[in-house]
Amino acid sequence: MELKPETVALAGNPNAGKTTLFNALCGRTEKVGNYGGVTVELKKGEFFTPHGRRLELIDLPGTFSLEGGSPDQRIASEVLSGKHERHPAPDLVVCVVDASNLERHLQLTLEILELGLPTIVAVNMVDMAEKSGLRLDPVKLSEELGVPVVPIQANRGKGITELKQAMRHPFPSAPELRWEKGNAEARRSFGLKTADLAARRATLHSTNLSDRLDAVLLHPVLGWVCFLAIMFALFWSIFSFAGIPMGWIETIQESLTGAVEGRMAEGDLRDLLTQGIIGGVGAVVIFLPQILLLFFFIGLLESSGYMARAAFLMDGVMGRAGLSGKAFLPLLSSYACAIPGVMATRTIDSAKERLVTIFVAPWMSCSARLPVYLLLVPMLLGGSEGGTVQALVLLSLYVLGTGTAFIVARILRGRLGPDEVKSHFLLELPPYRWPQWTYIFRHVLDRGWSFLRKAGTFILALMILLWAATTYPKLESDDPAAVISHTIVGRVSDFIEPIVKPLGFDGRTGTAILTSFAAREVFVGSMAQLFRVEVAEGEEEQETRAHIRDRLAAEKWPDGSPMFGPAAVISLLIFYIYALQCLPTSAVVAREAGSWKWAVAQFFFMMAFAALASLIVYQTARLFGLA
Amino acid sequence: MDTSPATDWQTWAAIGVVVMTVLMMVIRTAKRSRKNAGGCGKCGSGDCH
Repeated sequence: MELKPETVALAGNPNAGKTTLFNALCGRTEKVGNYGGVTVELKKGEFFTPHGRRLELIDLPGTFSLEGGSPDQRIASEVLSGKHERHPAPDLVVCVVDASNLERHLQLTLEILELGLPTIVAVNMVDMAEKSGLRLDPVKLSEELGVPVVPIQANRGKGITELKQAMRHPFPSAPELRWEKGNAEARRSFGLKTADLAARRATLHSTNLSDRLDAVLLHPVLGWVCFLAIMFALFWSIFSFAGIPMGWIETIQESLTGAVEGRMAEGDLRDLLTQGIIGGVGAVVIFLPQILLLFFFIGLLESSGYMARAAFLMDGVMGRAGLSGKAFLPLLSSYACAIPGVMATRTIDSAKERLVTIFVAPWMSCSARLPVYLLLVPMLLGGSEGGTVQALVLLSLYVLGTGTAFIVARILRGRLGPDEVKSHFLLELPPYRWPQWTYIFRHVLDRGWSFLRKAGTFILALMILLWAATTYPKLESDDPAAVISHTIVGRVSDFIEPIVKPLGFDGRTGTAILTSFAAREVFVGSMAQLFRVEVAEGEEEQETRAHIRDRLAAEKWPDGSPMFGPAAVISLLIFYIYALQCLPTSAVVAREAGSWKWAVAQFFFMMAFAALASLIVYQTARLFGLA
Repeated sequence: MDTSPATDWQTWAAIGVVVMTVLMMVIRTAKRSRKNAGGCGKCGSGDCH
């Protein structure tokens, strides 16, 4: 019988590089970032030491102290002190400290040493510390602490073998404490003295590149100018750089449609293949390059250290919304997907602030909304592609969602009353680092693959069912309107049209919105099918790209007025900014908030808000003659 | 409505694809709900991005 492997816990301050070390030890690709609070739950992996021992590794969320009040910090504290219900105390603790911040990081190390567990100290990012003029003496540090100390550079894999060597059996015994146990003041002064002895600065503090960059990027005025410029560049590049790869995807789509039409006689199966599968799934997959670009730029900002600066800048804004700076990173994560964003609220100490952040997080426009925006924004601007105006409109959609979230957060925060536990936002500004390209590309590929897998399974299945619903039951008639009206979709559309018409939508658009409750991206494919958009062979590339939009732009109401005029398009955009059309998010909200009541209340509130906002916008726009 | 032999077999084939899709979705959903309450090891939702 195989014995259960002994457990090693990785502990340390936020942004000490624990997850990077976890990935280096276990060969994993867990999410890392150059800012604190990325890891909010336990992660487990396994690795072998050079002596052939199998060890289980637990990556704990970063914490400044074992007395932290937020849920993620409590997990770390409970595991280390053996009070966690599922995880007994680890057999060995690897305490990861940032070489450049020994004074602060050693405080947690000393707290852990007081627990009496076998401990090894891994001093990470020694390269950065040495570049800044710090001379580290690991032997001295080891003597002072009474435990093995291994200098490492986790992102480059340096020192990993030495660290594994240090984990040989028997584990180092717990050291004799050289300060009074439980006395915070004694611990603090011992930590400062040890850091002073073990790390010496060759020169007095001088201004380095990070300081010079921060003088601009954290400037009260220039900092905001740079922040807005970076955000604008991000959205502009999404429109501008994706054109060529999008053209490739269209060419593949056209060739496939041409091949099927050339080889098959007219019939239902051919329609299913060309309109349902190639047309429907293709309409979603076409946005893959833009999704990849979004994640590439997010990865770049995370990895370089700019995200921590953005959090610093936003702290004041968050304060006005009744939230602390701690809520910024969860909200920022929600731009990629609300699920990790909601989970990241575990870093917030105050239960009420956490609930409010969870409540408004889905209003940060996630990547699933991007295909919808990318379809509708050019329609609003008359179909022209690329360019500054489109980027500005796209940026304003994100700003609108975020702004509304802050206003609602402020109102909710006022209604929930004062906190029992105040949230304190403690943020370490990491030095700017050259982005970890391997990690960024791996992360982008991971996201791309996840998007394609979803398109090839879930969205494909929905497109097949939607095609069936737009085709059956069949009616023998020469009138196309009567034929579509006889199908399942036709009947559903007729039923919901009176409900959605005040918002500016016809029954088919209403049906496409209904289908996107399964996943927002489905809306684009559904519109392509419901308005029967076919990719015709031999069309000019630019014409094909705009095909869905052209088809929609040509749609008319029975009275001859355009169906997708500016008022209807704005109304649709507003609906998609505010509607909560994501069941997985609701499931995670229920789990994190500890009650389905919150998830249900959030769902109905957001849906009602979206419908009401669309109604007001459409009717007002009509009054101004924009319909 | 065109009732040529080509149309007939295509209609049946298309219906077959639709029925298979429904069956696959039902089986996947049943399997997932039996395995755990969600599926995704990270978030428990089964459909995180």
